[in-house]
Amino acid sequence: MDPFTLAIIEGALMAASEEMFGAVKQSSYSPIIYEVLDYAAGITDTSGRLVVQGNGITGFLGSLSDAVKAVIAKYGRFEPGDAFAVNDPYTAGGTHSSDVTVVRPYFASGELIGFGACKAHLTEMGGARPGSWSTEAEDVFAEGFRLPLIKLVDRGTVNETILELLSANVRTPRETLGDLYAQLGALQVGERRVAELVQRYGAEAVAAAMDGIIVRGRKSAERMLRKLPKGEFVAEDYLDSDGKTDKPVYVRVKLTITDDAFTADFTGSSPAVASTINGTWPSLECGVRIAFRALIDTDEPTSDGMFAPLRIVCPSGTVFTAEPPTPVSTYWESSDMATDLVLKALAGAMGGRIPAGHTLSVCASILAFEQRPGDESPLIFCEPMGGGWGGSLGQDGESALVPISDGDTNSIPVEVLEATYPVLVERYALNLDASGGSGQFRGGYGLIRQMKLLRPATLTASFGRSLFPAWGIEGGSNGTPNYVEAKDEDGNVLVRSGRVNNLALRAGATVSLVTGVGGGYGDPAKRDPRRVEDDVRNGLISVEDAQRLYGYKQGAMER
Amino acid sequence: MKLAVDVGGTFTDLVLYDEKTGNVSIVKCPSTPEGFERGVLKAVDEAAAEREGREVVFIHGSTVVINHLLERKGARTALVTTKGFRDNLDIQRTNRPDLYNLRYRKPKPFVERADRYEVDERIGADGAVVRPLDPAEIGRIAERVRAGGYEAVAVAFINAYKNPVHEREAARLLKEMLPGVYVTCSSNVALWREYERTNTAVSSAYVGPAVHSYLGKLEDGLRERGIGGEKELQPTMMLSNGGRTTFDEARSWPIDLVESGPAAGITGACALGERTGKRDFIALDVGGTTAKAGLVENGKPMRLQEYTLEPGSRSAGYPLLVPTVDIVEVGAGGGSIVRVTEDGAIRVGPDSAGANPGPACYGRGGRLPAVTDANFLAGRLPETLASGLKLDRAAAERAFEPIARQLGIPLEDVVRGALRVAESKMAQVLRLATVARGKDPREYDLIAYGGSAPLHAAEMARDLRLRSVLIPPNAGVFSAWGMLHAPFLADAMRTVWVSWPEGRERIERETEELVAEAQAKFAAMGLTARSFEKNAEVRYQGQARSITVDASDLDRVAEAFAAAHKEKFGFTMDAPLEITGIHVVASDAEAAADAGTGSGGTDAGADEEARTAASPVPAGRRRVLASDGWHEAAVYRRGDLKPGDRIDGPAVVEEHTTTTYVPPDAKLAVDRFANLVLTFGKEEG
Repeated sequence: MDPFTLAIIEGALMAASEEMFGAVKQSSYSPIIYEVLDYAAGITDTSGRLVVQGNGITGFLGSLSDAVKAVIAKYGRFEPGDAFAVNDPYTAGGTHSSDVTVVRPYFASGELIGFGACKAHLTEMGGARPGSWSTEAEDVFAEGFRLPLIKLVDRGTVNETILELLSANVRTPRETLGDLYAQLGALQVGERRVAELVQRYGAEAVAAAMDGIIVRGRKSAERMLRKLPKGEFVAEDYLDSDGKTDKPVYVRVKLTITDDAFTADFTGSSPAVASTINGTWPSLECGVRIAFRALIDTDEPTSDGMFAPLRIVCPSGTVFTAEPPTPVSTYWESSDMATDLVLKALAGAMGGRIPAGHTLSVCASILAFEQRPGDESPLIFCEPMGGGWGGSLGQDGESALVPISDGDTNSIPVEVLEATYPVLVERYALNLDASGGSGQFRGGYGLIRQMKLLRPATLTASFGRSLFPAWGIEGGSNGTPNYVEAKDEDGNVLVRSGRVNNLALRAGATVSLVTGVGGGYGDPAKRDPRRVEDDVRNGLISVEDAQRLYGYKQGAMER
Repeated sequence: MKLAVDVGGTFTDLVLYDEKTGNVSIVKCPSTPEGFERGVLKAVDEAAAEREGREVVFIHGSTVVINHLLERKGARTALVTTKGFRDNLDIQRTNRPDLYNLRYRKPKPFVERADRYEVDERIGADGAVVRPLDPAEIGRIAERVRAGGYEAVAVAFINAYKNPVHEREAARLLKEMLPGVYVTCSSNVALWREYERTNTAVSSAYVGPAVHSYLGKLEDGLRERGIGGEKELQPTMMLSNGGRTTFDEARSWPIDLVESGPAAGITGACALGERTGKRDFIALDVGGTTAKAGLVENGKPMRLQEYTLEPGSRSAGYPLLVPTVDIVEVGAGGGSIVRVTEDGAIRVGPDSAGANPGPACYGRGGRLPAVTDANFLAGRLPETLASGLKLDRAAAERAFEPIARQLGIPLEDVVRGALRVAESKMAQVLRLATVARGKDPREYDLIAYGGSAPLHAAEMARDLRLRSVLIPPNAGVFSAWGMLHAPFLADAMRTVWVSWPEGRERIERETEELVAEAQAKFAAMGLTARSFEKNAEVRYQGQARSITVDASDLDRVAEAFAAAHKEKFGFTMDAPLEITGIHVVASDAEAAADAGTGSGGTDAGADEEARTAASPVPAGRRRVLASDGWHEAAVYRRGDLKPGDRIDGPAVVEEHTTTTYVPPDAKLAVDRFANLVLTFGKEEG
């Protein structure tokens, strides 16, 4: 096959996945989709191997191909215009019930040429609590309406019965169905593009181009592997609590790196717990893939080929691999921990190229405002928060940046927030907590969003790394905790914690969402005095703290 | 007479147009980076003879704003902001677009934290005063600004888009207390999103003093040369929206000049489209590193209210709330490097040979193969460029040899393949402009200009089956020519949030307010606006993004929205609508009428075009490498071609500022305005 033709087809496939991604963003209803970009869209080959993926976050890495493979296994035969949907957290690339994956077989001239898949976090999927996720669900049935893998569209005809059923089971049917349509629309866009390529260059050439991307993905992973240190690397850590008690949850990984395989073994991690922080096998796979992908330095599209040398080992029933009907709606706490464990295990052996730990947790909160007569649908504010990243050799950690499982995820502007929800934002500022994150290259600063409620609301939040903050490295200190603080209208502290379960707040109450400082890299005593001086001048650190932590002498830098 | 001067990094282009005679003169001078106004005035002097001391309308496009931003050469700037929000410029939108980069860095703010001052004031989301502004506090800040030696101050308060009273009062007080300091405020754009608006105000302040000084010197120099005056004779600057404005307006909010160059090209394309009867087309500019395209429908370019400085898939860039024409771009141009990755993927761009060393064939030490080298080896470029530069064949071949060896195929297959991949990537920009928006490219023409576009336009157009390609005379100085056609424009825009059609009364009222605001801007320039383009931002209630819809007839808004939504996303819904913004663009459109079509490009009339001339006589012949192999091609000098001439491909047309490639299956006709018109297939030439 002519290599230039293949290059042209590959470019067109990448453009198609970007276009699919853009179509969802533009036409969706949920802020969590269009601002947070909590979704992904991609194209697989006929066997379900991911070829290209348009994504705004890292979190759905690897989910799409598993969903397509599940569709192939269950249905096997397809007609043009079919589409399938699933939100099962335990199989088919699932994560939690809020994440709905839609799969469409792609046809050209009546022949199957691949699949399109789109997975998105829909703000409302029903269940016990508005927004569907909570920190107190007893089982998966409280976490939203369950869609097993079903055929949603049959040869172009949407199954209205399913949509009616779904509408009746969610709090915001307009938004939920609107998002589902946005997903279906994006898949059609992708099919049109791939079909055009087949018409122009032939099915064989398109298949060869898909294969080429996957093969090159594998090569880039293998090359990375050759450069990595070989041997066994272990990391341990704790998730803050099991959700019922304050007992931390122990987790560990053992990496075994050889010339041709990268094995991440989570054996020895705690069993699944009685709260919603459990992950499932697909979410563990996502978590490990993110770390693995970050090690590969390439401008190749992220394809299934890249993960060929990756092996994941974990017995079922752990906090990473919960079984039905264990609740999993805040699965990101464990899935993100899996990513962080892999990076932590390797960081010491990578000569400062892997930064110290960051705030890691998505730090998601939900404020569900009291419904008033005339409100069309309930007002639900849901937002993840950026935090401090870790220092690394040669650079301080970045401040107020979304964690590893997010990506091109935009925070909600104060002005949009205030125009949309009954709150007054009193402060949106860097968290300059000097009690952690110091180092030759210090951790980045966290974020404080302090809001006064103008209407009663209930608050739910899941802020991980509240008791076990971001890790320092090479003599740098650990970061500072993420937490949520709520005060009543008189200023009395009602709660200050990483987990808040459905706390009723009156108008006038104040909610502060706080993310921590990232971990420091290297001995603080070695910090360049010019960096300290800059931080003092910019008011990022007080003179006293600078003296205490870095031996700063005021005026020493002045000439 | 009209005189347009376009300053680029290397050259300053001047186009002088005499409405009476239809004559067009062109001057090209080296730019003078140590003081760009000198190059401009030198060009003006060179055209002095043609001016004969007559009244001249002066129109200027300059990179002064974008250069000061990109090179971080702006003023020492302070930000005055609401208490509790000093870190806004550091927080930005917290996004991390380079997904797998563990060491991502955000763009560095133009004003660092030490230079930001908080004021204990507050406006609510509804525009009500939550905490009043204390003038004494502003007084204290003014002292610190004076002591700190700041040259510029931006004032940006939360919710100022809804009620600017605090910002304006603070700015008034600061101006009073700080004579000589450049002061501006964010509510100059009444759009929500505090980071974007604050960044816009800060950027405007940052370049304010430099623009002030530059325009002052230029104004003086022009006055000495008898250029300038009242009303229509005021010297003007090109805006990012494709129109122009007075020097005074440009000084008061200079950030609106940031993308004026590309916008001028679109303005020129619109003028050319009107002249040639083309209403729906894509304006294409291919430069050294990028291909840029703007879609024009029904004679109107698409408009945006936001622009990103230093954008990229791996960086968030700096968002600026600047009204611009919507231009999409991809990282492939004449200087783009062709390479094969370690894993065997063929890539063109985004890295570029740049001006130095340039492509290998320039013989200035470039060793990596660029698209220009492929063009040369494929016979599309002459042995010696118009500038006198003799191209180095051996160097171009040497640059491609490693790829031929790596792939194990003949060199000429590599050259041909590289051009195909490059053109396919450039064609992506045409897809972004049409297909990605749900438009059928077969319903559009292509207007191609800029140094490299005429080399690739035909292949790109064939790829998307566009109707025709039009290449204007002097395609290389087309931006300057476009400026001749720029009307005075003033934007007035506002964030609103109302249900539709329930909120119709409010939309009508607010639109009228914006029309009055735009008319006031014209009045301030001593002019009168003659037409108003009205757009609404419409979406289904609760949806993410709005679609810009023509709102000149409010009865048709819902219908237009449904059509646009269907076109863009493939579906419509039976759901209530809302309007989230109004954008009024005022124009003196009638005043910006007629200008020539470039040197030798005056209207030859329909008769000339229709004359049944035989094919013109070529100046020479050479072999060109088309997608199916080598062909013997005729080579023409553009100056020799006459309206009505017809040429069958393969052919090459050479002129001073560019070269046009006509593939074997294309036909070329010269229209009555001396434009080259390329078509494929069935149309009879």
